[in-house]
Amino acid sequence: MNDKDRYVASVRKARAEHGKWLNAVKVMVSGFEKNKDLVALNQSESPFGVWLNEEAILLSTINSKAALIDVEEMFNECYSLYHKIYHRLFNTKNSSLLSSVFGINKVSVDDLKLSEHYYEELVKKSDQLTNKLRVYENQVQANGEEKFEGLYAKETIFIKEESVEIKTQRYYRGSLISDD
Amino acid sequence: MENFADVQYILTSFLMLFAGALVMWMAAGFAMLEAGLTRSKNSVVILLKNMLLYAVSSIMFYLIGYNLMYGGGGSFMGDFNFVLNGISYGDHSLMADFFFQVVFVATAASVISGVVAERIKIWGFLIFVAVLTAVIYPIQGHWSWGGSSLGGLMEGFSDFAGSTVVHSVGGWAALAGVLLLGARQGKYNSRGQVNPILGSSLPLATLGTFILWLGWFGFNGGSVLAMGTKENVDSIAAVFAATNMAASFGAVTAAILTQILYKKVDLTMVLNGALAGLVAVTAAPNMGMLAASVDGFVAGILVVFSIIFFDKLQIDDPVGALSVHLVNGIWGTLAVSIWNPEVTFFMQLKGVLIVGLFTFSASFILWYLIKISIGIRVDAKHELDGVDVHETGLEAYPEFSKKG
Repeated sequence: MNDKDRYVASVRKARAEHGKWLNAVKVMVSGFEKNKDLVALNQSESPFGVWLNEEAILLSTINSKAALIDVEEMFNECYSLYHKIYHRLFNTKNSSLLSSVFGINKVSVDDLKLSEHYYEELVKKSDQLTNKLRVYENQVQANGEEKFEGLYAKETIFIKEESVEIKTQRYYRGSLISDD
Repeated sequence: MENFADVQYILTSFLMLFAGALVMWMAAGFAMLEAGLTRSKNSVVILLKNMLLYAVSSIMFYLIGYNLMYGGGGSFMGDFNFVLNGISYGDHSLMADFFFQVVFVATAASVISGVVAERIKIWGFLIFVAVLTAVIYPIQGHWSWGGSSLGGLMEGFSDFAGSTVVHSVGGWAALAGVLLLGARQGKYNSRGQVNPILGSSLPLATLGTFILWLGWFGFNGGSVLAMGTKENVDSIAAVFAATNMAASFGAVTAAILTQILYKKVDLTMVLNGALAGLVAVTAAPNMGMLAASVDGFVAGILVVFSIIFFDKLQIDDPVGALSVHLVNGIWGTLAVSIWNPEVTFFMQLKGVLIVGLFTFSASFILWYLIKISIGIRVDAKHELDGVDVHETGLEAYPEFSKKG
């Protein structure tokens, strides 16, 4: 597998990761999953966000920047919708004395309906995002191998060097600072 | 002799006013330390809280608190009277005494602000501060400094400048609050690991610590409460020097310990180490340089391990105030029994437990009532965006925001 194939594979993997992310949100909205940490609140911590920020953006010089900017904007919009869903599902305000004492945080019907509405919007936005990713993939495919590999190798070295530098363990108030 | 008494009156009152002004400046130290150790998206609310808590404390302690603490000889609390009515002193000015005491109350309230930072609602917090400074703090203060000894239960308890009466009280009240409030979003992951949330400005945090260090000379030095004789002045000078020594030992110990544990010196721990030394020595800064050194040394160790300990319990304290003020307030108070032959360990332990139990229980109930009425925690979305924009409509550093 050459560098170009590797990169194309990473685009496809990122698309699949976004699909998994969408499914996880669906599970939350449907009420099967109460764990509010199931989906990362910070978009840069989600697998797609990691790919976008670390791999795609770094290698954007060889690809169409416009497509990637569109992808980034759509992903931001997806996350804005997810934040709205999260706010409806896990609002920390307890509705009553009993629910507060026993830690029961029942979601109101209105909040549930609103979160379902947001989810529908999220699905539409995600469709746009995955379509744009396919366009992006085609643009990557259209690049010549030599041009691609040269740049990929250079960027990979850069990424590796940076990683090695950051990997030295750093602590803040007794806790390890994660470099992820 | 009459003139001499006047001079003593003047000098003692001056000590209280001068020391009080130094302690008032600690409010700025708390504000800078807290702003520096938290994220810039929450800085405005932090500054607002620190400003208003000082103002609220001043008003409430004047209206009712001072009388509850120092008025009359009730066993549980002083007079239920208002605005210093019925209180006077022959050897110093009443207003100087009030001013010196009111800045102490504000210090106790400032401790809480740091622990609950970045997710507390402003008004819920201020209501808590109002009740704390009007009722809870004065009642427990009445048992030791007010002279009641709680019907003999706290007989022999010694706390020179307030390791327990001020700092631990702030710590207990904050602990009750943070248990009901919960951790900041993202501080602990689902596996219970800590995701460090880095402070926005270490220069600001360092400046805050230096301001606190400076203010502490007033805190402890002023607590001599007399400047009418040469011996008094010697005592004040000794307290200044001991206070400085404890902070120095606390800072150096924390630096060495973090170097050993993490192979790097953690500035934030060093800042907390200095403050821990200051809190610890506050219970007995009049016991000499050796006592202050040991107090500071142990405090420097305790603060590092207790910050880690609270994180293990997932008690999220952004600035380390529980470790500094609560843990080392207890340590400093217990340590008095090592240095002062007139004080026993049991007397000190009993005092710490009684004050702790009362303050924690009263605070927990109060926090809980606020929680179920107006709420204490901001919405998840507001927390994520930063409370500044939602609670105040302002940003601390607008030039650096996306909207610019």
